Amino acid sequence: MSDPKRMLSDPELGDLLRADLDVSAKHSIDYDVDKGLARHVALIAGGAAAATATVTATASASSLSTAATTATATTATATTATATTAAATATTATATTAAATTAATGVAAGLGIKTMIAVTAIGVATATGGVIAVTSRPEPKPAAVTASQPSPVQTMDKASSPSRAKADTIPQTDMPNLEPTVTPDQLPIATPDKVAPATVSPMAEMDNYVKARGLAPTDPSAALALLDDGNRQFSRGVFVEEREALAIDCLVRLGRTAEAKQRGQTFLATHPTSTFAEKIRLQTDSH
Amino acid sequence: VNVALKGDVGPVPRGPTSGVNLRVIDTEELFRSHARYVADFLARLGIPPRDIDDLVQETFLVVHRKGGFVQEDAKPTTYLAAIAVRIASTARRTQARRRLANEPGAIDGMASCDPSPHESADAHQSLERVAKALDALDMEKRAVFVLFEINGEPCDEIARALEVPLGTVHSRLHAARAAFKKAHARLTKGEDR
Repeated sequence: MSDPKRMLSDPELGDLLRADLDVSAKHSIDYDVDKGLARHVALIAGGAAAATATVTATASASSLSTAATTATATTATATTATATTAAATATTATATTAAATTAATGVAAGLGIKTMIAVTAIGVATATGGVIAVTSRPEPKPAAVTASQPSPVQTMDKASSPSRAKADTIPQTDMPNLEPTVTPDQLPIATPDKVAPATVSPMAEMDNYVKARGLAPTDPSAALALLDDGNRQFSRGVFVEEREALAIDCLVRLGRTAEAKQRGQTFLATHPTSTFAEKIRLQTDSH
Repeated sequence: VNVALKGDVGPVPRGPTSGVNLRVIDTEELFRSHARYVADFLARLGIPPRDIDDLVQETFLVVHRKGGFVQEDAKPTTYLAAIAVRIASTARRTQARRRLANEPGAIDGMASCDPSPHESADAHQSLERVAKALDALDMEKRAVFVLFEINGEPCDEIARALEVPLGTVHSRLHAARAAFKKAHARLTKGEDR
């Protein structure tokens, strides 16, 4: 079965349609790969640091600061690395105010993941830090372009950060732990809207999973509790399989083999082709 | 017209697809070479700019969780796109749903790199029409349409990545084209919105 001719090169179609598709194919958003990569690296390294932050969530600011410092090392490529520790500490210690969250705007987004309470900063950093900076690409005549045609995206990303930040923090309602970071003033957009209880924040779900994964090797009980919490909050999320696979792993670690086997069988029946299937099969069969 | 070609802002790597060169690419390397492709793809799926990096991160986190990308039989681009679609679908269903309809998409910003206001405005209109016409498609069809018509991915690669039969890709593409053409015609008839 050979491929059909692409519409943009099909002379039987209208010129405008072809031209529009052609323009679309030739344009690209200006995604800041370096910033994105720094965040990615921080996220990947986030498991262990997240565990620290979770365990010490109620501890002193100094211990949180330690976690933040560790995180700083992992995000050394972030341009704001030098300001990270202080800002993150301020955020985690006093994250009850919007001001503290705003102070962390410059924090590398990945760090927000690690410090649990500072997750709000991710939205802010994303909105104002400009990983997506549409007009930032060096062009021969950038001034003419930006001056003559202000980009709506640029406006949205950079100029309207306060309101955008509010919007970005809305999904934090999924995370009871973060309630102190979201004041009523930060939620004017969401509250009048129909925010269903099932509203899912992908980032919150990811945080939950990353933290659980970081905890699993050292404290599988705590990881299980987090995963159960994740199942309650994100029952229709994107990490359902991952949570269950990790939960089974934790049960095995805890020696709760009967439960592990039972959940393993349910998992295999539901997700027979999952990438975790083989591991679960091995884990549960061997016990 | 000095529009920003993809090659100008970073190549869209094609990667060997022969299956001979089997190796695991870690996510950092994959991120460096394909994050822009994923970001672009998400924008074309209608994800608003401020959510794009979150979803890019999620996409690569999924890859990381799977132990990296194995350069076996899938192209990295379509492989990543398949993950991104899944994540984008969830995002649209949940937090983003109520905001997307009235919000400018990332595609709106794509034209801003054109050299003259005139050309920029033209390109912007083109991109806007395409974005709006794409909004007429459901996520499944939209993904196939974008991958084939805009990104130029071959149907068999799309089928492999989405883990659906080739016939399904063709039928989705067929339906997507019809819906896209209809929506586009409606938009061009009512120019100036």
